[in-house]
Amino acid sequence: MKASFFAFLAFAARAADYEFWACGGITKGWVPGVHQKASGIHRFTGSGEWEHPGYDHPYIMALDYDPRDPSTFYLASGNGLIRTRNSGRDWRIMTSWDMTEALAVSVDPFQPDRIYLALPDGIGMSEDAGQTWTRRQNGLKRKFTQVIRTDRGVKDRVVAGTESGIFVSNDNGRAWTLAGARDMMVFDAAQSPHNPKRWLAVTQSGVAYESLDDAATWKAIPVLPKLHTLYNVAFDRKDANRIALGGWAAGVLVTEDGGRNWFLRNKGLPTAEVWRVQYHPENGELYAYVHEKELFGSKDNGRTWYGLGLPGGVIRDLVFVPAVRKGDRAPQ
Amino acid sequence: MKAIFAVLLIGAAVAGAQSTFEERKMRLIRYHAGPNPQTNPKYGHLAAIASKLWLRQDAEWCSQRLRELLKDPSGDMFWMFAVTAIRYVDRGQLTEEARVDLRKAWKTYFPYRGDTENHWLLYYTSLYLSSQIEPGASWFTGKTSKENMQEAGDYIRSWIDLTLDKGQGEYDCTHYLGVYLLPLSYLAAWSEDADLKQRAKMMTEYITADFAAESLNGIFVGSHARTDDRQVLEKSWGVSSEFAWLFFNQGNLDMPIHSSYSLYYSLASAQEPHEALKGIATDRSKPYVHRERKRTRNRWRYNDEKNGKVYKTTYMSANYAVGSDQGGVLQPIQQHSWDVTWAVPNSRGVHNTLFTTHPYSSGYELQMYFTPMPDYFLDEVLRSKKTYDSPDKWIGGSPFEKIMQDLDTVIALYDIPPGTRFPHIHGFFSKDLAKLEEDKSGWIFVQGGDAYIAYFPLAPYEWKKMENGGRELFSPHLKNGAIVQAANASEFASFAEFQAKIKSLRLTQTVSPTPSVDFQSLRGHRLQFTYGKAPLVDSKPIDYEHWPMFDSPFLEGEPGTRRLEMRYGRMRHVLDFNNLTVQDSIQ
Repeated sequence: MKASFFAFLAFAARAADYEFWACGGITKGWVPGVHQKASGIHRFTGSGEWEHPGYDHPYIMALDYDPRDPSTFYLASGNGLIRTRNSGRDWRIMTSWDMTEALAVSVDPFQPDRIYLALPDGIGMSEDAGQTWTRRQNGLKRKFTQVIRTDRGVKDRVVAGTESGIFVSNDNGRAWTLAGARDMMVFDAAQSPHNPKRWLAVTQSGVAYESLDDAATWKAIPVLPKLHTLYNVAFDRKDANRIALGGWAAGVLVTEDGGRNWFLRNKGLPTAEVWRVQYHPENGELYAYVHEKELFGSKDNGRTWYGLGLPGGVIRDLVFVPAVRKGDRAPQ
Repeated sequence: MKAIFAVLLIGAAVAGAQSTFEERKMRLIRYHAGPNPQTNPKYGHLAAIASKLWLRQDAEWCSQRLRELLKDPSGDMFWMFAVTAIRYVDRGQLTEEARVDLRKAWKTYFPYRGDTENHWLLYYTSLYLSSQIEPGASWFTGKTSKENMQEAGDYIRSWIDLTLDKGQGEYDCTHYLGVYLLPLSYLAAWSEDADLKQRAKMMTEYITADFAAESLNGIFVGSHARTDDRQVLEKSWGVSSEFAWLFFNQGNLDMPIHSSYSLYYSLASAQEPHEALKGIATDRSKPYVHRERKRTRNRWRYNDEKNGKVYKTTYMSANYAVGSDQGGVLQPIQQHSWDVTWAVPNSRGVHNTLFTTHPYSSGYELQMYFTPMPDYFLDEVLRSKKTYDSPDKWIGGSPFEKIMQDLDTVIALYDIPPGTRFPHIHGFFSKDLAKLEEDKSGWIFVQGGDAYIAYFPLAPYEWKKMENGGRELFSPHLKNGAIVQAANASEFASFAEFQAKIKSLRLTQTVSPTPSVDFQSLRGHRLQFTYGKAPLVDSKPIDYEHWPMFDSPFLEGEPGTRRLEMRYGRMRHVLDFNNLTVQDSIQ
């Protein structure tokens, strides 16, 4: 406990410029249909506890924020797209009945009022901060879309991970073309913070893919052990050589040489059933949420782990949001 | 609780066979209201509050109990529909404090919208009506009452249109029938929008007609999108049978009432079925074939078409029914594709059914119909659907089962790939069969009630004794199948004559390389069916392309017309959703 406490203090001291958010539910012992308490979004506080602002909701799948005002969140949820303008306290469902069970959300950094929403039957897009929505899914082979990311280097470029592979659009979603991982269920895709032309994607079959030409073409990474579902990929913003993958049976996989060699880093984790991994954007600490156990942190890239709370859950997204200081907030 | 049952039993005797709809409705409401006066403020669910308010009883207790229950809302749309009813049957009885708490709960509790049609219809109906009665309130949605009503009304209309055009998604559910009739009853009673009110009234009749045509002594027969482990065997143990009692005075209610859906229906529109529907539900003097078109639930993955087509056939007679779909995974977890159900005078505790299934369980099925991530979801499903991953289960569709039906003959074929989880098929042979004889010809002959049933297994099998007293026909052969022919006992002088007749019918069958059957049915038709190929009746392929929305002597509706004609005797009752008219005539 003491070790965890001091580890937390170190974390808190370094975490000032970002707030650490987790999306998901406390599922242990839960039966569908019963109120899933303490589920929704969670913020790691300066006192080392998890705060749970807003409502209980069993299916908050992902979070993105408005870079102009990081207190404005967009939540991909079972009820559609939810917007909150005060860091999670008050919610408004922005979509209508025809967009259900949203799976991922991405705010366009070039035009932050433009929001993309990954849906089980395609892709939705709003150009007015969620007030109105249109479908943007022409060219998708199968519509199920698990993840969507806007390219931070090329305007109007969007990458989607779908049931039938990785699709790319160069015209803000009007037309999509298959770029890789053909017929693979893609669970995550991420763009390197060091090289915007480099992307990684992971799939249900346990294969990870890499693109070095800004998502135009993709190749399987051959050296990775093929274990089971890989759920997500995280780049360390501090160190271009460090990348982590999280998955079921794989647990945590890391590289420290830019992807030439990969290592399982599960020693110290209770199981290798990992939903999500993420790096701290400033100090490079690695985090992994273990299914219905808790969130674990590591200061040595997964060689040792310490507990960070949120016990008994399914956490589907870990996001660092720039901290909003007094006077920072954009006009409403 | 015992006292409640005693009241119920006495009520049953009083209500009796000649009871009116109004009497049965009142019996339901009084049952749910519970003891009178209510003295324990810690006892009573939302259904009791709603019932008492409707009866104008114990208003003070209702307010106290409601405030207690509103401290910890749970149940999402199932909470929403209950408190919506309470708000509408309040009629000035609740205290202002209770109403304030209710308004507050709508703002502080965030119900999940759910993942299937009954969830959405309940959610949006409740949101619509609650917003209508509280125009200035704040909501968990963050939207205004007007915005809520716009969104909800759009959904409800879209669901009606989709159902009229492609058939119901959660079709013909033994249990979930109630959660469609309930919201429609609410809208028919409480919507201030005349258009929506009329649509709801007509859809209530539409759904009721759908049930009536496949009701055998108050039991919902034929294939079901959803049933459950108990109801698939004890077929009267369903909410649908509660509605059969309320609507048609069929079956009986000498049971614990295990849902509140018929209650909430009764508290709102309490629409009594048209006389034609009563006839359709109860008159089995002439056998008939009933066909219907339905659709699958939303298929998120592995399919190009979001809502696949479902083709249902049900043969109805006084003594038995034979029903089927075309096989495959048409719904997740709780599908029931085919069976023979025989009529019994009192079906409580009786397993009056015979069928075969391939118990199928897979992430493929779950990911097809649900969105959560794969590895954990099976565990989540098992928390509420405990038998889903059991080799002994009796519900669920299989992608390796194909079915054809002609009149009262069903052929089910199986071609299960090696390595499939649960590599066997099994047949349910009830404890309530009067006779069961295995013939050296390969046929198994049984009698259930006044129905004779012949069952021909395509592959070797063994019998396993079941805890419920019946026998399980267990066959571990991956290429497999069954031919089932039902008949009225009265058609034959004896069981032996039935057997002789069946054995005289021409039959060729094989399981290699693919299960295939060529059978001359008892009704004189040549049925040819090879796994994976279109079934033939008298050398003509069954015409799925032009399958009707409804087709039987009682119901007729063609795709694309949004029109349903109900016929009974000389009565004609026509729902025309194009102009929202209902026409009655005598032919």
